[in-house]
Parts: sequence; structure tokens; C-alpha cells
Amino acid sequence: MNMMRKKIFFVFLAFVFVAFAACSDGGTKDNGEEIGIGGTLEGNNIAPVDEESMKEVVQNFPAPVEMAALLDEVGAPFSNQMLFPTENADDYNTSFKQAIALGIYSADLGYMNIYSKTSSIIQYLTVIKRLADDLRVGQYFDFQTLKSLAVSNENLDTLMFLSVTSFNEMDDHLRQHNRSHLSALVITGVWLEGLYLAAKVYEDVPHIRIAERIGDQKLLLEDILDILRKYDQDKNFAGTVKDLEYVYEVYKDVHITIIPGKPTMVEQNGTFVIKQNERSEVTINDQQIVNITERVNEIRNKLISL
Amino acid sequence: MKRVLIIIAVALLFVGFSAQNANAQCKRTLVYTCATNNGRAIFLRDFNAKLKKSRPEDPAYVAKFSVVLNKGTLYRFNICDPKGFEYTTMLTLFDARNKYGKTYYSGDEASTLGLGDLVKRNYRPEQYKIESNGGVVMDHFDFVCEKSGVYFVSIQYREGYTDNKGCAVGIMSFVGKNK
Repeated sequence: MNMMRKKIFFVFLAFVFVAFAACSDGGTKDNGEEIGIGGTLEGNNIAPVDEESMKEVVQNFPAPVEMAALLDEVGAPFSNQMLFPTENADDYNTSFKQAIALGIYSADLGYMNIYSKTSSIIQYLTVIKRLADDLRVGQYFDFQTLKSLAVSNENLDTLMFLSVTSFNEMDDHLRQHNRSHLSALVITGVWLEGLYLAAKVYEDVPHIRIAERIGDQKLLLEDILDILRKYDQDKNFAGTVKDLEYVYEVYKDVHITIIPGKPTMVEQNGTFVIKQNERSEVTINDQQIVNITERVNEIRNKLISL
Repeated sequence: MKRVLIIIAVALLFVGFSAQNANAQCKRTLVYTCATNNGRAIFLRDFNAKLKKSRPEDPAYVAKFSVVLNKGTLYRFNICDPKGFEYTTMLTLFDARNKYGKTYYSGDEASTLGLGDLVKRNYRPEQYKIESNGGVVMDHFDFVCEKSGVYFVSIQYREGYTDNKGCAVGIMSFVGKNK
């Protein structure tokens, strides 16, 4: 009987443990940050440690397709010439180069997807797979599915969903294994290529929306520099920081002003649409864009010739 | 005694399975369904919120996420709840200066904003529902971003449902011309 009681006790303990686990968060991953809605909105318990700020920057980083979509919307034609060449991909033999290249090729992939240019997609996916494998994060990408989705040119949502979740899983893995610096390099590559594409398009299609988006990159560049500086004891990182500071020198004279306004709501075809009315105005001139283009070009060429 | 043991063991298995299943649903099935049933919008990011229970006297538990939005982009924000919990949560978009939109307006708020008139003019039961007190619940709203920068998305149980715990998924997408 005693033995039976003991058994019941252990089973009960296990039950309590599982029930407790079920009630808990199951880890803080992707769980956001809690706030009391009765309190103020600003600065609610946001005291990120380095890893948290890193995660925030990475997860907040706009998807490469957003820049590509803008180029498409303003009527800029697709240009194969602007893509980062895949021929040199085998030469990227350090994790530093591989991570930046992975970001650059991902941005190009977003550009091709938005323009539905499937002809080169396999080539780029193959390179991305090789780089991800070299970085030991290839297991997070289901390349067969990605390939078939990309080539079929349908189900863009599924393709985007798989890309984003794969990227987040890769980022989680890198952070959990003390390799956050590689995530930082991947987003640097994504950012650099997005800016390069916008700047090159602006040479032929000088649309105000592209100029503003180039100017807006000042905010993201500041975030990227903050993150990269954490690793600048490494000479490669120090070099990249120096390169990006060279770009930032031009941005110092780019100004972003906020014009206050109150939001309004309208109903369009059954959807509530909120118009912000508060807006930002970016002050950037053509010469500044030329200077940014030249400097980004220089950095990118340096990477190609690594 | 054996019977008691068996019942406890079965209960144990059931709780373990349900817990894992609930987490998995929020992680994959629900996110995927919500992300890919979005009309003309192209998926950009999910906000997977695990929501805790709150006591009636406490403010609702809120999951908060930051996100960078780009000027000149039309974003769509959706909220999806697990089956059986539809319309129990709400998503709010705000920044340091303004609250922009949310997926639930109480009767008073709806009345102040004139939402009732908007809804009556073009009622689409598949996209929003009107409660008996005049409150309006919708599964998404669109946001015309005119200022690049950091914004916040919060997800919480609506008033009256805060004694639940579970998960909800917010989806951010953009309404592009390609789709």
C-alpha cells in the first residue's frame, strides 16, 4: 500500500509539473513584451540587454521585398545588371563574408520575387543554400519547397511565410549559440543591397518616393552601426563599421522632420483604413543621393572583390 | 487504486498533449492560416502572442511588439484567434505619440468615432461584427503609413475575456499591386 501511495505521489508530481509547464510561457521566444494597458505607452519596461536589442533590430528589420515593392510601384523596370553576381559565391570562405553575402543575395531574391523574375531564382536560391549550409544554418530552410514556390510564381504569401519563419529560426539558432554577430552581418547585407538597388534605380527613375526611402535609411543605418560596433574588436567588423560610417557622413546632413497630425479613419470596400495624417518629411538632395550611391557602390564592389 | 492511477496517468497524458498542441497551433497552423488568407496583402511578419490570464481587478495582460514601418506603404494588420476563441482578442497599433487603430471598438468608442454609420453603409459580416452594445469587432484594418519609424503592436484579450489564457496571432502584411 505504501508503494502504491508513493506511485500515486510521483504520478501526481509529474501531473503538477506538466500542468505548470502548460501554464507557463514555454520560453519567452516570440512572446512580445508585456505592458499594463492602464500605464503610459512610452518606455514600458524596455531595458534590453545586448541580445535583446540585437533580436529587436533583427526582427524589426523591414523585409527586403518592401524596398523592391516600392521600386516596382514607381514603375522602375527590372534590371538583371543590378544583381549581386553569383559567380564569386564560392570565394566567400569565411563566416564573415558568407553572412554578409547571404544577406545581399536574400535582398536580390526579394527583388526578383516582387518582379516575378523566376529565371534566375534557382541560381540565387542555390547560392543561398550553399552559404546557409556553410554557416551551419541550412537546416532551417526547406530549399526544395522554396524553389518550387519561387519557380511556380504563385503562393507569394507561402513563399514569404516560409522565408520569414526560416530566417527567424535561423536568427534564434544563431543567438542561442552565441553567433548573433552573424545575424548582424546578414541584416547588414540585406540593408546594403536594398539601398544599392534603390540608389541605382534612382539614377534612371528619380522618383520622390525613392529619394525619401533612401533618406529614411538613415534611421536603419544608425541601428546597424549600433549593433556592429558591439563587435568591432574584430578587425573585419571594425572595417565594416568604418565603411558604413563613411556612408553615414553623407546622412548627417539628411534631415527628417515630423509634421504632427491626428489619425482619421475611413471605410473602403469593407475595410477600415487609417490615415496617419502625421507625416515625416525627408530633406535630401540629388547630390547627397549621388554621394550615397557612390559610397554604397564602393563598399559593395569591395565585397565582390573579396 | 489501480483505477485511480490509470485515471491520473490518462489525465497527465491529456494535459501534456493539449499543452503541446496549443503551443503548436499558435506557432504554425494558426500563423500560417492567418498569414496566407489575407486578400491582396503580402505577408511580412507575424506577432505570436501568448496571453496570460488576468484577475478582473487587474489591467489586461498585453503582449507588445515593436516594428519598423516605412512611409508611403499601405500596411494591413490582422488578428487571428484559435478556433473556439474567435473575436476574443484585439490588436492595437500605436507609436510614442498616437494610437492609430485597433481591431475592436467598444460601443462608446464606436459611437464617438461614428463607426456605426460607417459599418451600416457597407456592412460586410465576413469582415466585422457588430455587438449588441454597438461595439465593432473586425479581423483587420489597413494603415497608410506617412512616417517611417518605430511603431508598436499590442495584442490582448478584450474586456470580458481577460480570464482566458491562450494565444493569438497578429499578422502584418502590405497591400502591394502585385497580388
